[in-house]
Amino acid sequence: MISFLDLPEFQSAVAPFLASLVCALLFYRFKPMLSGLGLVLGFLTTVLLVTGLPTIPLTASSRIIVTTLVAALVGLSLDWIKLKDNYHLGIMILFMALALFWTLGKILLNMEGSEFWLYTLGGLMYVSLLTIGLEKLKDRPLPLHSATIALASGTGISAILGASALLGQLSSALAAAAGALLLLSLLLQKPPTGSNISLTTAAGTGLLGLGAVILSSMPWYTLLFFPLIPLIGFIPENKTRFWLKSTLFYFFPAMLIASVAVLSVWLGMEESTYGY
Amino acid sequence: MKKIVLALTLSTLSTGAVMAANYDIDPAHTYPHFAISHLGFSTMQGRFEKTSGTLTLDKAKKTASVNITIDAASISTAHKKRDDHLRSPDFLNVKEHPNITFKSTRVSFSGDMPSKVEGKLTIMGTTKDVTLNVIHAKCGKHPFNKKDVCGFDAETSIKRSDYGVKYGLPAIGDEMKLTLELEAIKK
Repeated sequence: MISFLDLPEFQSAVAPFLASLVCALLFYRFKPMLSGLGLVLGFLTTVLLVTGLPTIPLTASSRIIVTTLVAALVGLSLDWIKLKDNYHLGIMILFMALALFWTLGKILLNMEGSEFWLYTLGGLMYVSLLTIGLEKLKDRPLPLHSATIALASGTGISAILGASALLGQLSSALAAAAGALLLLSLLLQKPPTGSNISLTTAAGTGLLGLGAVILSSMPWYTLLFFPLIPLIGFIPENKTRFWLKSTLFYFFPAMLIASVAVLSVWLGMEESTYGY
Repeated sequence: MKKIVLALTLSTLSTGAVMAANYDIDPAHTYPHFAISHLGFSTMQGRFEKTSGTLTLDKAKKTASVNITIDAASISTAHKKRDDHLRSPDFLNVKEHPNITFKSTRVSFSGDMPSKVEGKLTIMGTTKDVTLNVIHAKCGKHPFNKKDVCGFDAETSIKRSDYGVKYGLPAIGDEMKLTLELEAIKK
């Protein structure tokens, strides 16, 4: 008999949302700067429910999980240290490049010729664009969390359609956890923000998306859409606008781009059935 | 006298060498397959389409060994989407672990044919001891190509979680029955 703890909807949506909400509120009570950690703690909740903590030998998926958890700490450290912008961003991009090779390097090195260069350089460019785009939003909670929800849900659904439910569930967990942070951003005076959120999102969604392409059957061209999502930051803020309207101004365009990415996977599928 | 002893020794050694035979696994007649509970509704069957390996058999000394390599990406359950899923990191993670291997460590005989094969099964980089129960064995001449062939049917049961294949538990069963029908052609 399957308990509700085993239901994918609970594992990847309800549980991470609640965990993120509770943790963010608890941190906000005592140390608002840490409230953004709700995102990674929501993600960790799903990890514990779906796979358990990674064990040796670490697979590529396990390494992606570890990298996402570490990214939150690296981002938090950068938030605390407060380096100049260029150094700050440079460290983040360097972290992502190293993470790419640590998680997927073994598979990349087995590729030959043009395939190796396409996936390596393309992968580097992909994670760098996500990092830069999300970092630009780090101090703006509404576009930041809207972008995170769109990136994570788009990557998650695309990965599931591309035949990896595991990677899809993990990415969906980030979307659910970000949903909690978006809700709190509408309610709290000091909403959760910072590189601890932007780097976690870039690491989680970026590496899960690349993993779904390289390790599973998600088409590579799906990834072309996701770096466009952080461009919602160009939508000008209007502080006189009602808060819900502001949210929708960022949320809907981001989700529209994510939907196009998902559609690109759907249209390329040979069989439309799932749940076999 | 010395010549007689030498001749007898040589004939004994050559007889021993003839009895110990080396075989190549015939991939066209070797079928590793599995059965697992699907959500508790029914038992799902699947097989691997590509296998290679070697077999050594010495009936006189009652010794044998087998090394099998299975191409994990050749998994087939007659449903492309499901097969893609089984190859993904959720299950067999074939990009990182392209092969499933079995290497025997000890073979028990019943009469002059193996009855039990103990060995090390490696799936997803994790190696565990398993015992294959041989339920059928026959060696003889192939009626058409006249080659010496040995064939075996063997089975065992494992828990996929022991090998790190944990996704979908407990909905998709943990206990997995493995069956191997194998034919090998003498080199």
